[in-house]
This record gives sequence, C-alpha cells and structure tokens, in this order.
Amino acid sequence: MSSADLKQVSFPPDVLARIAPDVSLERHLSLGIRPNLRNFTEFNSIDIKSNNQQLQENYNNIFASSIVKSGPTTIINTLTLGVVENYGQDKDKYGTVYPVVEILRGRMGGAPTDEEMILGQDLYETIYHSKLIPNESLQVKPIGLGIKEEDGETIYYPDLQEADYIPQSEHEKSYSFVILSSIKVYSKHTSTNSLFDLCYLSCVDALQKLKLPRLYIMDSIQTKVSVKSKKSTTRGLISTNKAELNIDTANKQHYYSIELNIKEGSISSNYGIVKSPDNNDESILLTDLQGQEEESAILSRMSIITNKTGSINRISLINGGDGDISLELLRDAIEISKRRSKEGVM
Amino acid sequence: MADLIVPGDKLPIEDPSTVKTTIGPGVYKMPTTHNLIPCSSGVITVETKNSNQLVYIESNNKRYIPHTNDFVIGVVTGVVGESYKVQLQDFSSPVLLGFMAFPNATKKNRPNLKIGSAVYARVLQDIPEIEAELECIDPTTGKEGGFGLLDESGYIFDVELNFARELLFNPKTVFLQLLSTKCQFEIAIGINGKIWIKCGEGLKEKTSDSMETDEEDPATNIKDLRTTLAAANFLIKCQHITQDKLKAELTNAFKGI
Amino acid sequence: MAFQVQMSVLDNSDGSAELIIGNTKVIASVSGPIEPKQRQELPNQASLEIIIRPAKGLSTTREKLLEDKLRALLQSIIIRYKYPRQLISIVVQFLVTDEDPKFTANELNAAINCCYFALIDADIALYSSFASVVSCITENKLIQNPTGKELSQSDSHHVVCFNIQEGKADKILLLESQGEFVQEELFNLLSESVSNAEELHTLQRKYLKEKIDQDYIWK
Repeated sequence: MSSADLKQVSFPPDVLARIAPDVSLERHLSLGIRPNLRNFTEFNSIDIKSNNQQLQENYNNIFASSIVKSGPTTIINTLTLGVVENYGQDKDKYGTVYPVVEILRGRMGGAPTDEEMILGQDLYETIYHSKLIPNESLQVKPIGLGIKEEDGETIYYPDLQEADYIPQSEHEKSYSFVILSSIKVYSKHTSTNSLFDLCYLSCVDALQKLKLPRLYIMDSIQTKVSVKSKKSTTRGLISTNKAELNIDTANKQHYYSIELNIKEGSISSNYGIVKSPDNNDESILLTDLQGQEEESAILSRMSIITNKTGSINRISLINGGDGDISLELLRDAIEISKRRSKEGVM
Repeated sequence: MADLIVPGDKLPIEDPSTVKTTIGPGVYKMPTTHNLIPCSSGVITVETKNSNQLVYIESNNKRYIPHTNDFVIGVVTGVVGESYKVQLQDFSSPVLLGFMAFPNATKKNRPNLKIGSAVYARVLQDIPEIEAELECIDPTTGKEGGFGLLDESGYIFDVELNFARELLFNPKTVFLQLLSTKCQFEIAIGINGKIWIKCGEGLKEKTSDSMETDEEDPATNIKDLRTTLAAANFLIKCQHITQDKLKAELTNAFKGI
Repeated sequence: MAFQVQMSVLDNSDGSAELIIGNTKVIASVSGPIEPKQRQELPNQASLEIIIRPAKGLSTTREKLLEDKLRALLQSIIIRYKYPRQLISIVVQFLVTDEDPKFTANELNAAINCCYFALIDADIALYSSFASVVSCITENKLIQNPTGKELSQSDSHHVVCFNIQEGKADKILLLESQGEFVQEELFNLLSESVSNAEELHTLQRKYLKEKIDQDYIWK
C-alpha cells in the first residue's frame, strides 16, 4: 500500500467531552445550546432547604445549617462556634467565618486539595471584605453562673435574673464567638466558580439562621476539691476548680439571633466568555458554568456578588483564552447579577 | 543601541501577506490568525533583501531550547534503547544521541561513551513535541568534522547564550583573537551556553603508567592548567565589560602566568 | 506610580527580578522551560508551577489563593504552545509587605508586576506586555497605590491588570474587587487606572532598555 487510509473516527458525545472539551463546547454552541443543555444566560435552579432543624436538634454543637441543591450538586453547610478571649483593643470592625470546604467526589481521605483550600480561603476573604458580620455581634453576652441545687442545676444570668445573681469578681474577661463553617460539597461536574457561588449562598443562608447561645461557668464553691500543700507539688490532688466556660445548650429559649449586616439579595453569580463559533469577533456570555467542557475550555471568567440595593460586593474577573471580556460584557454581567439579586434565586 | 521592542508592540515590517517574510527568534506566528507578533523583549532586526524580509529579535537568555543545526556541548547521562541520553543544561529535558549518529558506526562497531563524558554535537531535528536528537557527523562530508567526544583534559564552563552566539557566529569577534595573543588554545563553543577550552595540553590526569614512562615536565602541566583556567575566566569576565576594558582584563587574567 | 526593579538578581535561575513597589518588596524567579515531573507534563503546551512564599512564616491557604489568581493570569499571557511537554516554574518570595494579612491586594499587585520582569528576563515568550495597578475607594474618594493602613480603612479595594498593546492599555486581564461599591465607581476607577498602567509601562520600557544595554555591553 502506498498510502494509508485514514478513517474518520467518531466518538459518543460524553467521550468527546473528555478528550476534546473545546471541540465539544464549540459544536454545542454552534447549535445554540450549551453542553449542559441550558440556554446561554440560564442559571441552574437552586433549592435551599430552609427550616431544617433536624441537624441542630440531633447535634448540640451545630448552631445553624443550610442545605443547598443546584443541578447535580448538593452542599451541606453546618455552622459551629468557638469562643476566644478578647485581647487588647480589637481594631477590626468586622468578623468573618472560618470555612473548611470538603468536595466529595469519591476520592478517599487525604490532604485537602488545592480546589478546597482555594474555595475556603476565597469564602473567608470575601465574607470579611463584604463586611457581613459586625464584630459587635460576635461579642459574648454577660456570662451566667451555674449553681448546683437539690433539684438540679440552675443558671443565673446577670441580665436576666438580676435579683438572684451574685456578682463574681474573677470573671471580668470578655469573650467573642468565632464562627466555624464546615461545608461538604457533593458534586461531580460543577465548575469551581459555580461551587463558590453555592458555598457563598449557603454561608449567607446559614448565617441568617444562626442563633447564638449563652455561656456560663459553674459556681466554683460547689465543685472545689482543692487540697493545697505547701510542701508537695503532687498534681492530681490540687484542684478541680477550673473556670470552664460552658455553652448553655439546655435552655434553647435563651438563644438569640445574630445581628448581621447582610443586605437582602446578596447573591454570587459567575459567567464564562467564549468566542462565538460563527463569528470570531463576537463573544458569547454564558452564565453559571457547569460540566467538563465548560470547566476546561472556558478560561475567561467573571464572578460577581451583588445585592438588592444595587451595590457590588465582589468582582473577580480573569480574561484568558479566546473570548475577550469587553467593558460592555462586564456591564451586561453586572446587570444580570443585579436582576438576579432583585428577583431572588429560588 | 538599536530599538527596543517588547511583547505587545507592533513589528516594524511590511505586511507579511504581501511580502515574503522569514521570521527568526523572538517572533511568533499566531496559529489561528497568522499574525506575526513579537514575543520577547530585545533588539529588533529587520533585513530586506530582494523584496524578501527577515525579522528577528536579539535578546539574552540563559535557558537553551534546541534548534536544528545548532552546535551544542552536552553531557552523557544515560542510555535509552539505541541512544545516549544527553543533558544540555541542568534541569533541561534530556535529548537523544543515537548510537548510529557517529561516523563509521555500525551495529557491531558501537561508539564507546561513558556516563559523564562530554560531547560536541549538532542538533539533527527539533520537533518540540518529541525529544530533540543530536548527531556527531558533519552532514556535508559524512565525517567527524570536529564533533564527538571532548577529551577530559579540557575545561567546560557556562556563558550566557547571547555571548555564546557572538563567539560562534561572528567571525570578526575580537575576544578569541585577543585571547590568542596570550596563549594557544583549542575551543569548542556550544550554542547552549557551554564552552570547552584547552590550552596547550590542558589538564593531564596522573596515571600510574604515565609516572613511569612519560617524562613530561610537571611544571608545564601545571602551567597549561593555569592558562586554561585563566582563559576561561577571561571569557566569563568579557560578558560584563565594555570593549575598551578588554586589554586590561586580559593582562589581569593572565597575571603571573 | 514609581517602582524600582533589578533583573537577573539570582544566578541559578533562568530569569529573576526584585521589585520594590509602594512599601512592598518582592523577588520572583522563573525557571524554564525545564523538564517537568511526569504528572505535570502536558502533551501540547507548557505547564506552569507557581509557588508563593510569604514574607513571614510558612505559606498557608492565603498564598494558595494568591497562586491561583496569579496562575489564571499568567497562563493566558505566556505562549504555552511554544513549549510543549515543558515546565515553567515561577517562585515569588515576598520580602517586605505592607497590609493586614486579611488583604492581598498590594501583594497580588507586586507579584504581577514583578513576574513581568522575571518572565522577560528568562526570555519566556509572551503574547503581550502587562501592568497592574492597585487602588481603593474610601468615602467616595479614589486612592491610587494605597498603603496597608489606607487599605484597611477603605470601603472597597481593587487590583486591575491591563494588557499593554503598542504602549496602550487596551483590555483588562484581571480584576479583583472586594468591599462595597457601585457600578459607576468601578467604571470610573477603571478609566482612571488606564493612564496609571500606561505610565507604569513607560517605566517598564526604561528598565528593559537598561537591561538590554547591560546584556550587550561587550558589543
């Protein structure tokens, strides 16, 4: 044979999406539809499970939770609390949450991936800079005193049971809450930008539902078994009197809602820009990226957080690849975000 | 100095769609639009000859990328199949030197290179997607032509790539002429920024039989060694001084020899 | 905006630059194209490895996010198709920083501008030049090149990196805006930043010219 016959090879769509995502994306777009079968500026519908008290009831250490579902992705976000002592003059006016993001894609264990670290850090910085949580709201309310009585334990709070409260001189330290957020993402194919949107949404949702508890210490007189010896330094015998801060989980009626600075309709939206397959000078704006093809073939992206008042909290724009982001496209994307903030995502 | 051009600038050339254009280093042809753009920062050179134009950007760099017909010095680091693996620079991808790429090599008559030995070779082909290949044959004569094993009595040192190009490509370059006024030397210049140089007999290793039979004067041996190092130092220093200081530098390098 | 830069400061890397911009001092090194590890290798283009080291302590998730932003920018500026199967390794080491650790604007800005010089020094092929500027808005007032203190008192802060085509800032390559601002403020800021970026580029050319003169001093 003098020349080899080259047969045309054809692949089923899901195989083509893996081996040549750019080709697959281009072919879909020239048909006027995206690989995930959405329209160019259509967002995935989002379902937020509100009033899900089950988690809080089963676990005393969960103070708020939010479950967000969107397309093939489910996010479970649980908020827990930590307490820190206030040292010196705090300069920061605003707090943030400390997120730990886990993306579960069937991989077992191991160190956090870059994607998880980046998402977590991005949430942390964005919530801080958006000034959602005033530091004052995180201040712990005056600490109660637990006293063991014959019929059990009663906790007296200086502001609630003023008459019965015996002032304690020892505990004049002030404390603050720290909000820890554990985010579990069950997803296969959503792009990192879309995951950020959903994580941000779940954080905002959970924060709005967050109820802070009261703290108390046990009256030390009752529990003191201190044997002080000047000669011996034997440890076990010395004292069990440690002023431990306890969270009053028994009296849920004392829980109070956290005061937040979250503007209504704070929503994060993401966009991808690709060159039009028909006309090379034109760019197409796609919303809410999802799927293998869009994640690997679209390098020009925007992520925008807007709220109902029309102000913008965050723009992260990267102009790579083929599609050029012009100022008009940026303006269009901001308009879409604002409309979404007004109309809500549900 | 001539004009500086940086990436993003417009190339000062005639429209390449009407004039036949040859591009050299520093100019990139966009695969989709076929536009020519400058991709490095350096001195632009445009030459027009018989209504053809040639454009390239001269810039300095340290990392070498193999191109066909480049003369290079490499170090053998291993054997894969029917080839030697040759390292042209630290941490660079290794290139291949086939067993058959030597003059008079046959299946039975294999070249005998040890790991760690240096070779002077020519780049046979440079397809970036696959490993580059070298050969030690002069393509015009089919003979050795100066390529092959560089013996261990020479000294190999690194220079910047632009200086290596000057030494190899500019027949009027002053540096080697000036050096030859001080000593006799044998030199191999690799465009990958490596130079092998040997003055006189260079560095002779003391072997047990040379102790007995060779009546070579140890003093000449040490002198050759010192000259070799002085010559290498001189060439390294040349990269950072203006030409009017060359003479002084030469005297300084060969002080006491 | 004034800055000072010194190129080829590191002997053992293919390209390096040390940059002082505002109160931030940073050093960047570029090695490449070099042999990649097996898992990094891409068959048709160069892979990028970006490592950011903080001025104090070990790198954390904060640096990971910075690395991600820098990678997104650089991967579209470097002509990666020119170096298939190769690796380009970029290390950014901060020496002096001037901002609260919760902010990364000044550091991102310095890293971008420093990488430009380090990439040029390593003679890595680039599609175009780029220059980055940082600014913040405090009570409706625009402050260019804010200090760390000005940043933490601001209502919003922005890092913009422009593509420089024929000496003009023609498009936005990267925009990182945080805080609270309105659309008008943003577009006003972008148009103000254009002239700043172009000014910066004029200075870039000056330093590159000096480098060329130094490299060919023996001519």
